[in-house]
Amino acid sequence: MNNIAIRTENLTRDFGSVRAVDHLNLEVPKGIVFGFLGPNGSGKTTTIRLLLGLLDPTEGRAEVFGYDTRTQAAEIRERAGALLEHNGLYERLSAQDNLDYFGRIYRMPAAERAARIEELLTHFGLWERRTQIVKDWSKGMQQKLAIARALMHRPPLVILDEPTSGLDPIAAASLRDDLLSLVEQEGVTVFLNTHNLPEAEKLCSLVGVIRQGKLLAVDSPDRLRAQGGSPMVEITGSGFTDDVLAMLRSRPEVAAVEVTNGRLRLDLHEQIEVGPLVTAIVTAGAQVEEIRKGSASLEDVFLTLMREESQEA
Amino acid sequence: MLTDIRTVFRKEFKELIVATSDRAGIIRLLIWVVFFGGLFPAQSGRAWLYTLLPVLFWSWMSLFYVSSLAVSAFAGERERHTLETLLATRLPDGAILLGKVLASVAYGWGLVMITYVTAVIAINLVIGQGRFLFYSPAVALGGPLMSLLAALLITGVAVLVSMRAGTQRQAQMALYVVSLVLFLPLLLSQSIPALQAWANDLVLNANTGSFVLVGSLVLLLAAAIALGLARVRFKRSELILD
Repeated sequence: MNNIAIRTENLTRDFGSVRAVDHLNLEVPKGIVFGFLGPNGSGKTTTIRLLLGLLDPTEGRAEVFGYDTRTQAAEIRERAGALLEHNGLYERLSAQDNLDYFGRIYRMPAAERAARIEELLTHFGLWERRTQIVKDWSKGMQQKLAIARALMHRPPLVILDEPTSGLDPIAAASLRDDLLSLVEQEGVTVFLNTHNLPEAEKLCSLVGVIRQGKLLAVDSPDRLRAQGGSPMVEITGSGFTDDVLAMLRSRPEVAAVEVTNGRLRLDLHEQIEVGPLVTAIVTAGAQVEEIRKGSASLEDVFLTLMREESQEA
Repeated sequence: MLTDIRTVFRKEFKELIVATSDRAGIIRLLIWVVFFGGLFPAQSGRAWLYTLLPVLFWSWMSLFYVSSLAVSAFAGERERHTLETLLATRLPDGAILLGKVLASVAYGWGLVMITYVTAVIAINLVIGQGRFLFYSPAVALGGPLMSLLAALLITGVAVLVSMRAGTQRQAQMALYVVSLVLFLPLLLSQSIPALQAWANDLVLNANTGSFVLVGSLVLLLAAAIALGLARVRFKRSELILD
């Protein structure tokens, strides 16, 4: 049985002379949260439109659950729930009416629709406000409702474009839990466009990094961190004079040295014992209060990839 | 397909009701009914019941009123950023198009038909003298028919215009130009005395039945072409503008 939810082969889309998506090759397995990371204008939204069959590719092809986006887009949209760039809510209608409309679109029976609306609105803390028109709501509340709408018909694929934008930290954390439970309990596949790298790190078992329409990397966050970022040591203390820094830069195991707000960050070429390094720092006259070993975060990897691509361009 | 059309129709109609049920909307509706469904017909007297005057007037009202509803349903939905989410659902293109067309026409034409009824009441109150006066058969049937066909025609044109318009205002401006071209001969006729006399004679003395028959066929053909073109061109990939 095919375990792939999304597959693209040389997927390309031009708008006039601008290439928005450039020979994208991607495979997203079923039942995971896939994070699609990239700066503004990198082609993330165009990719979503291509996957939903809202745009035709200029070259290449894409499949969702084995359905071709060009010829079987209706089958794909039947199985997808989407929160796109804008929340897409009908502001003159109430929360209940917004969800009811989408329930009807997906031909949910009346009783099931009513139960699902109550379940979702209660879960997102919006049940008491169900009859209010959406226009007067805060951005965060509207965003919660738009997410509820994407989940309304229990789709096996949920496509979310920046879902936590506008949400307070508690609501954002709760949404992350919801998404993880959807994946774990119902086997839903989530395609997540995000700028929020810590969020991607927490949620996604696979991430793709895109820039100027090109896929720069695709892997699990752990492996990307391992591949893309060197190990590092962060030392909190004082007395990090120019002499101390010069001494550190001259050591072969040290790749880079940086001091920010009394914190010394050492990027290392490889994983080493830090004892001799700390001894050398103390001997050179600095005081050490705290030492933290770590590897690069997903944000570091992302920024490195962006820099490398800029230099190549 | 019918269920999908009904789903879209229901939601569009509800939105139209909500959008016009605030105090300003109700006042506008009352002014509309009092002026176009009361004062104007009462002032025209029997001419409103037996000549082409109301048939042309209702057709013009349909064009005028339904055009703004249709533009709001298509270009307005894009401007309010709800179109893309709707296109990302399972709804077929045809159901989205027809549901919106029918809602705009039903609401706009429904308002015109309110004035059809109130006009009879107003005329009977003013000149009825105890006898119930009603439209001649040609006006009674031709008025609703021609105004309905005019509503369908302008909705088809509104869809085509809205396809490439980034905003509701752009689409509305384009439609004004189309309406101006359609009504230019009538406007010109009012500034040339000989033509004005001919137009007045046509409105008051023409054979209403024949005019309604020919006019309805012309409108039917034009509406079929406009809606047919709209159906062919209304595709998701054409609606995402960037």
